[in-house]
This record gives sequence, structure tokens and C-alpha cells, in this order.
Amino acid sequence: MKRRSFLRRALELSAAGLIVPAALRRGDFLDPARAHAAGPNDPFAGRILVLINLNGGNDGLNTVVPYNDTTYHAVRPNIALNPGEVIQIEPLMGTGLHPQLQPLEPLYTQGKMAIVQGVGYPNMNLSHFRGTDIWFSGSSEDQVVQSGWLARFLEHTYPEFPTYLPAAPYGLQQSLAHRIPLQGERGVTGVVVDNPSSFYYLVNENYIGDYDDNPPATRGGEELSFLREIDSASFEYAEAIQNAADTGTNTVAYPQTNLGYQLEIVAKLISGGLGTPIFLTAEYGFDTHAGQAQSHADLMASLAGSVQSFLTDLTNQGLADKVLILTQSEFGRRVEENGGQGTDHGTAAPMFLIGEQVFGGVYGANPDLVNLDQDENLLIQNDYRTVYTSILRQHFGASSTVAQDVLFGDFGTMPLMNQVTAVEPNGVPVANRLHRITPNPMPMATGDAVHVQFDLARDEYVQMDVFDVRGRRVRELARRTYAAGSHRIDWQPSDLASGTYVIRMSTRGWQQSVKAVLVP
Amino acid sequence: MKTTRPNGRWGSLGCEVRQLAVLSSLTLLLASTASSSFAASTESAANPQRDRALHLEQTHDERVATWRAEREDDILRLGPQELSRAELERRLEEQALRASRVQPSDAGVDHGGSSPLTNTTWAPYTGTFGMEEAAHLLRRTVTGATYQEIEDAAAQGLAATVAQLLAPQPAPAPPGPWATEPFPDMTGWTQEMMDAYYEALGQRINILLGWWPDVIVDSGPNITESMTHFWHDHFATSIEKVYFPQAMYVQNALLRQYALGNVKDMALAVSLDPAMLLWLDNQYNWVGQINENFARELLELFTLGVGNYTQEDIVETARAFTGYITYDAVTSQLEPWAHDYGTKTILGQTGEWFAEDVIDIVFAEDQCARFLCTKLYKWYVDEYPDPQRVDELATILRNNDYEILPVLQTIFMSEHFFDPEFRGSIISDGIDHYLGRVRAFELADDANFATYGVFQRDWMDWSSWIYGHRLFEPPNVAGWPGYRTWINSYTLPWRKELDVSLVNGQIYGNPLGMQLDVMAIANQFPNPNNPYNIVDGFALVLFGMPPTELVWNRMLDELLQGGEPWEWDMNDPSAEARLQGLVQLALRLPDAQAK
Repeated sequence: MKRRSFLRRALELSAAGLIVPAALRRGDFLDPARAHAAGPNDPFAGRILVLINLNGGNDGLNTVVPYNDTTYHAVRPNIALNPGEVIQIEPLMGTGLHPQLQPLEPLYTQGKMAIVQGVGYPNMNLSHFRGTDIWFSGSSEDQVVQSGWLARFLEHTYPEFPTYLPAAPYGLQQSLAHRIPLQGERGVTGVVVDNPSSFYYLVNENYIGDYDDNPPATRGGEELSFLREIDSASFEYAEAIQNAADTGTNTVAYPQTNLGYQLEIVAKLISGGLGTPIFLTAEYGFDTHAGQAQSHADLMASLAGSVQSFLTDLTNQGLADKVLILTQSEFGRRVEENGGQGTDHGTAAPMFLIGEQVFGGVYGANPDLVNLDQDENLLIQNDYRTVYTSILRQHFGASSTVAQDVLFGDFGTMPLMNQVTAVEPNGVPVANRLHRITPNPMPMATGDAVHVQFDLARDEYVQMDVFDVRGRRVRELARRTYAAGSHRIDWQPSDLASGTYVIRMSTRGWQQSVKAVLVP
Repeated sequence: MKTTRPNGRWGSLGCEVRQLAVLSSLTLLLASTASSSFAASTESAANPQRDRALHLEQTHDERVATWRAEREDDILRLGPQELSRAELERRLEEQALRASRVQPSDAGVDHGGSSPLTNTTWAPYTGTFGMEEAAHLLRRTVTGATYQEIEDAAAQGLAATVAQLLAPQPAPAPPGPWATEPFPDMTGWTQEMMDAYYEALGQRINILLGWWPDVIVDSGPNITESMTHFWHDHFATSIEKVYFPQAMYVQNALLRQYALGNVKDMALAVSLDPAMLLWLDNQYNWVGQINENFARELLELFTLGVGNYTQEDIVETARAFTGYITYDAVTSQLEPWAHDYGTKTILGQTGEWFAEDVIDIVFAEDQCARFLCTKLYKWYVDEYPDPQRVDELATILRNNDYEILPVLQTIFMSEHFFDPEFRGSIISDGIDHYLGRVRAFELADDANFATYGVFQRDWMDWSSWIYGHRLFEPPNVAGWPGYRTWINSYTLPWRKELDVSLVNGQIYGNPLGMQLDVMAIANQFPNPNNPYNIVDGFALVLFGMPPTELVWNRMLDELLQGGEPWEWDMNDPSAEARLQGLVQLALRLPDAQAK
């Protein structure tokens, strides 16, 4: 292969005392065995983030539906979803999913899907482009930042970038529409590949190679060496991507939608062992200003069907464990429907995190449809950068310093992932968190204690209760201040009837619930 | 009289203005509704008599409060709310640090000051000034020099060529009658009028973004556009925040006016330029409520560089710049109520300083000329300046009271500039491709980028977007990081693809409305029936230095397609296709990415 002969030639020149050190070092780094070895060369430990951008501003209220809220039905007489049709995932809270999200229900039930309610940022910008830029750049409304938060994280993780390049591109973007996500501060941290074959074509068609001779020993010659290296690396990337696409397989059919098509390619590339940690995908058409009932239903079906196919595909191949799916949209939509049975640009909306290691549940309350901002839009419950911080820390194991640097500040975390690897140096958990109940189901007959474990990031007053399915409090488990750290409460449920219960833990400004089933 | 609204004063107005100001031009195209509730209110018309009366009766503080209450909204309507934005500033500072840091250490050689790359100096160049030397000079100073221009330069000699490059140029025609139009007082405007105005602004932004590319492509063999580009990169200001096309035009005209003139005068003019006032928030830098943004960048990025001033200098500089404000986006003024008339100490000098004084003080520092000449050296000579050479340039700049022309003359007439060490040592930027190729291929007459809605314009926007090099939209106040950041596994294949599209006259079936006439160019080469001359000729136009032997042979093979050299004939029916094949190959070689 052309590239190899170049490297071999470089080796020979090096042995002969001629200097081509950059080429050599890059050659080392491009070696897959080195790039993917455990240790500092594999900072992602195989973890993958698949971001799904819902272009156009997804209607959060018809995605995660407060179906018992009378205001919801009053202000959306034509497009509100009825309690009978929604998927009632949290009957206690009156929280349901759009009926077309049915494929996601088992994931939610299995605790593999987290729904973060009311996500946004202060003074949300209602322009599609500016709004999208803000989300992708991970900045505030009044900042103009031209680099992507994931790209900055990649640059943090690979301090040598772009002097050395990894064997596979850091990020792979499926949609050409956005320029910020992979734009780092030192360079572009990935490739835009709407289709591996067309990227391969673009690179291959334009690749000449065959320049295995030594450039002059001048500054100009040095730059030519650099250019040749990048040229070869591009060729290698295109080839690596094409190889992964050729080697990889899909085990299920995908919906014939934009997103289905993209996730099918992503699964194939993961299956083919590409080694890229960040994939950016998008579905289009969420700007539902008119007649949204049908179009939004189609989009929900595409989202849920594509994600279901994707996860099934990865699970079939034993690849699902390290993959996290995140959905986001530049903004939600207006609470009230407009005259065209659609909705106009709004503010806060829910985000989904889906994956084997996600700590499932609904984070936050149903949106408050009465107390709105001055433009009649929803108030923000959670800053989107809190979600990003949680992903950086809990999925990628970034330190709090790195996360703060990447996101220009400390936005805190939520316990969204099971494997919270990040603990502050002093051993204090990074965030409050209620763990899953063990054992679950809880066997009544044995009379054993049920263990309720929780973490506190700081000394705090904790209130913990057990509710039955009708929302009645059946037990008080805690009403006191605990120190920062991990704690366990043991509880005997033997006097309760069998059935489903919810254990809810709250501290000031924070709460989390987990379900437990009591069996005879 | 209106009362101040300390916290709610931005109200819905501030919100809308802020929203507008950050819209990119693209956003505007598709989201013109964003301006729908823009409502500027200027209820208190100027009343000189009353103002004079107040002046006599009130204390200074009262006057400040009164005037401020009356004018505040006028200021605010022009731009975003005060962006103290500690985080962003910290970020920008970091970026600047990064930008100012010596570039990658992987070049294989230590280019630190201790071991100069070469012993050549600024002594006048006395060697041959042939085609190679002429090409080097023109590649560096003209965006896309043509073969004809290189030939002319070689024929007329170095001195005449440098004189031609540095000759003052008439200002190009503005993009439209609106280019210097003040932002109107919208008192009494209906919603429809305001919507229409903002829609027009969006269209003007699009025209402006294509106007400068047209000017560059249409310009003669002269350094003015390259230097204007240099100053735009230096005093980097983006329309993304400034928003008003007329403000960006006025600044661009200013940079071009001073491009070859007095740097110190330019620094003062740019400091008080409306676009800069909006861009770095001096608009909101008022007595008792200072905004350090501009002061910091003036010292850090525009004149001295990191480490040559203190935080105290920044604060004091900011105080001196309080009150310079624009009300119409095309002119600026000193507002007495907003200016801090107190004593300031800047870089050790104490006095009741104004903007002019700050520029005097800063430019009295030796470091200032050194800082500027370092950037100039990187722009025209090499990424790794030899400190001694820079010091010599700085001395020339200071001795000439900051006139830039003698410095440029020194550089381009020197043996150092023509040192073979530097042939092809600068990585071409995006402009060198999407505009330089058009110009070098003599397609200027076919190019009209200011016209929106034609595919040619899409091609230009697309290229600039992919390359990350959009004029009027630098990524931040530190300008384009440049050098090796231009090239990566994404931009490189696209540079080739889009360069080659000019040979084909179309891309993916979309006609560009311009196509390289490869025969016409080749016929300019001496004896084009000699295939060696063809290879040399295109290498001269497209590469930064002659190709290595292997690459040269590869190019020849492409041209000959298995034939013998003596069989090459420009009259052969396949000659054009073979020439196109050769140029396509050349554009796809890494050699075509350097100048």
C-alpha cells in the first residue's frame, strides 16, 4: 500500500540519519495496536457516545407528556395526547411517552432510559441556527463560541492533537448541516461522513500518493512533509472507515428514515471496529409549526424505531455495553398550540439518555405549564450543560476540572449513568444519587432487609419515602441530615402487600426515585 | 424623563437586540422573524438648551445620571447587552495565549531563537530575479498570482515589481449605497417597517460577504488586499456579533485605507471604529461601570502581547476608553457622561488619559513594534521568526514613526525573503484556494460572488465554510489560528475537490459559471510544445516551490499518458484533456497546499 511504502521509506531515511521524525511518530500513533492499547492511548476505554440531534426544535410536551395536566389539554385542544393513548411510564407522576415511542417503553422499564425534564439554558435563543450553535458549542446564550464541546473534550483527552492523530477519527459526523460540533480549538477533530463510500470516494478520488521521495531540507520541505502526512492520514481514515463499513454487519432492519439510515451506518462502523468514540447523527423536520400531529408522530416513530433497531443490532453483536445514546434539540416548543394546529418555538424540553449503563428514570418534574416566562414559554429545570457534564464525568470518566474547562464552568452533575467512575480525589461522590434497590424484586417471604443505598456530594438533609402505585406514602425511611459520602438504609418490607413501590429520595432542589417490586 | 431601570433595563428590548446581534448571516436568511418585536424607543429628543441648563445646575454625577438615562437605550439598541462574560474572556485569553505560543514542536527542528534557520539578513537581494523568485514574491503578496503576472514581474525586475505591489490603490466601489448608511432612528416606525429594514439588513450582509471576495479576485498585482486581510486577521472582528453590515464595511474600508499606511494612526482609528466598539463591548464601557474587554485585547492581541502589561494596566486602559460610543453603527463619539475624566496610570505613565493618549503610551513601548513585526513576519516570511530579524524590522518601524511601507519594502527587497529556505514554507489559507485559484486561473471576469442565489455563490460559501475561512467572520478576536490548523483530514480532500471543480467548471453536476481555460494558460508558457515547460509552468502557478524529481516525473507522465516527450503537441486533439488531467493531478498533490 502506498502509505506503508511511505512509512517504510521514512524508516530507511531515518536509519540513514536523515530526519523525518514527525512522519515516524505519526506512523507510530497511527498503528492501531498502539492507538487502541489500554492506558493513556485509549482514554475512552471503548466508550462511545451517539448524539442524535432533533433538528428544528422538538415538541417536548408531546414527547414526554404530562397527560393528567388540565392546562396541557386546555391550551392544546387539537394536538394534546390523551391519557388513553400515551404510554404511561410513570403513572404516579402522570408522565407518559408519545404513543409512537412505544419501542422505547421496554428500555425505560428495564431502567436503560433516563429522561431529563425541562432542559435548556438561561435566556434560550429561539433562532434555529444560533440555538443549535449554542447546544453544540456548549456555551451560554451570550457567548459566541465557535468550537464544539465534544471537540474541546477530545482535544483535552488527546493533548497531542493534531500533532499526532489516532488510528480512527475522533468524531464522525453524519450530517453536513453543522460546522461546530467537531470544530476544536486546534483543528477539526473528526470527519464528516454522510456515507462511508462517498467519503472514501472523496478522499480516494483526490489522493495521488506516490511521493515517496524526500522533500528538500528546508522549512518548505518540512511543511511539505506535514502536508504529505495529513494527506496519507486522510487516506488511511477513509480506508479505515470503508474497511469498518465493509467488515461490520447489521443484524436487524432499520426504519427507512434519515435517522434509521444514519444509525445503521454507525452500528456498522462500530461493528467493524472503527474505534471512533463520538458519532453525531440527526433527524430533520421537528420544526412543526403547522399540522404537527401526523408529522410529529412520524418523527417519534423514526426516533424510537431507529434507536430500537440500533440497540438491538448492537446487543445482538455484543457491542451495546459501552454505547450511550443522547438526544437533544435546539429548543422545545410553545406550551400553547397555534392557529395551525402546530406549535411555535419554545424553550425547555426533555433529553433522553439511552444505553445499557444508563441509570433509568425520570429526572425532574413534569413541566409547570402555569408559571411561564415573559414570553409564555416553559421555565428551565435543568441546564443542558449539567447533562453534558454528567456524560463527560460518568460516561467518559473525565475529571471535574476537565469538564469545567470544556463547558466553561461548573454546572454540576446528575446521576445519569450506572458506572459513576468519577469520584473526587477525597473520595466524596460527585453527585447525589439513589442507587437501585437490592434485591429487586424484593422477596417478602424471606423477611430479609432491603438495602437502599445512596450517595451525597455534600452534608445534606435527606428525606426518603416509600410510595405505593397510587401515590400514597407507606413508609418514611429517612428524615435527617447525612454527611457527604455513601450511605445505606436497611428496610423490612414484610408488612406491605406485594406490588410495585417507588422509593423517593429528596434533598434541597434535587430528587430521584427508583422502583422496586415486592413479591410474595 | 425616563428613569433608569437598573436590572430590568434590557427588558424585552435587550433580549431582542441581543438575539439579533448574535444571528449569523445564514440565520438571518431563514429566521428573519427574529426581529419581529424589535422596538427601539428614543422618546427624549435632544434639547440643547435644556442640556446646557442642566449642565450648569447639576453636579457632574447628576449630569451623568441624567444623560445616561436619556441615552442608554440609544446605545443598547445597537448591540448585545454588556457582556462581562468572565468565562468567555478567560476562554478568549486562553485562545490568544495558544495563538501566541510558538507553534508545533513537531517540525523536526528546533526553531527556537538560539539557532536561526538561516544567516541571510534584510540586506538587499542581489541574486537572480527570475521566474521562481518572481513567483515566490507574488504568491506571498497577491491572492492567486497569474502566470502572466509572474512573467511580467520577472521581466521588469525586483525593484519595479515591489514598487508595483506597494503602490497605493483607489478604494474599490462600496457594496451598495447602504454601505455607510447610519442605523436609523426608528421612533414611530411600524412593525412592518422594522421587519422590512431587518430583512434588508440580512440581504446586505449577504452582499457584503460576497463583496470582499469579488474585490480580492478583481484586484491587480498589488499587496493592498493581502494587507487588508492581514489587518482583518489582526484586529479580528466578526459580523456574527457586530451584526450591522454597514459597520463591517466601514471597518473594512478603514483597514484598507490604512493597510499600507501608519499603524499607529490605524490603531487609534480602529479603536474608535463602530464595529470594534460593538465587537469588544466598549459600547458599554462607562465611568463607574467599566468593561475591560476592549482594553484587554488592545494590549494583549493588538499591540503588546501577553506578559507585557498588568491587570492594572488593563483596568486603567479601560477607564481611559470609557465613553467612546456609537449611536448609528457608522460613526462614533466620546460621550461626556460616560467618560471617566479621572487620572489613570497606564504602563507607568500617569495623566487624565483619553484614547489618543493610550495609543501614544502603548506605541511608545518597544515591544509594540516587535509584536506587530512578528505577526507580519509570520504572514509574509515564515511561521518561525528569527528574533533578531524581527528586532531589525521593529527598529525600522519605530524609526519611521510606525509607517508600515518601509518595513514591507525592506522585507520584499531582502535576501532573507528570497532565501530558498522559505520557498513553499507557508501553508496556503482558505482564501488562497477559493479566491486564489479563481484569480490565478484568470476567471475573475466570470466570478461574481456578491450575487446571492446563484450556484457560484453557494460554491464560494460552501468552500469558505469547509475551510473555516470566511471573511468578516473570524472565529474570535485572536483571528484565524492559521498555519497547520488549516489542514486536516476533512479540509484537505475538500480543498482538492473544490480546486479541481474549477478545472471541470462544475461540481456534482452544478455548473459554476467559470471554468479554467487550460489551453489559454498553457499557451502563455514559453514553447508550450515542450512538455517540460508545461509541467514547470503549472508547478510555478500552483505550488509553493518546485516539485521533487519524483513528483515532477509523475506530472510529466500524467501529461504524456505513456507517450514520448517529443510527441507532445498543443495542437493534438487530446491536448486539452491531458492538460486538464495534469492540472487536476497537480491540485491533488500536497504541494498545492503551500505557497
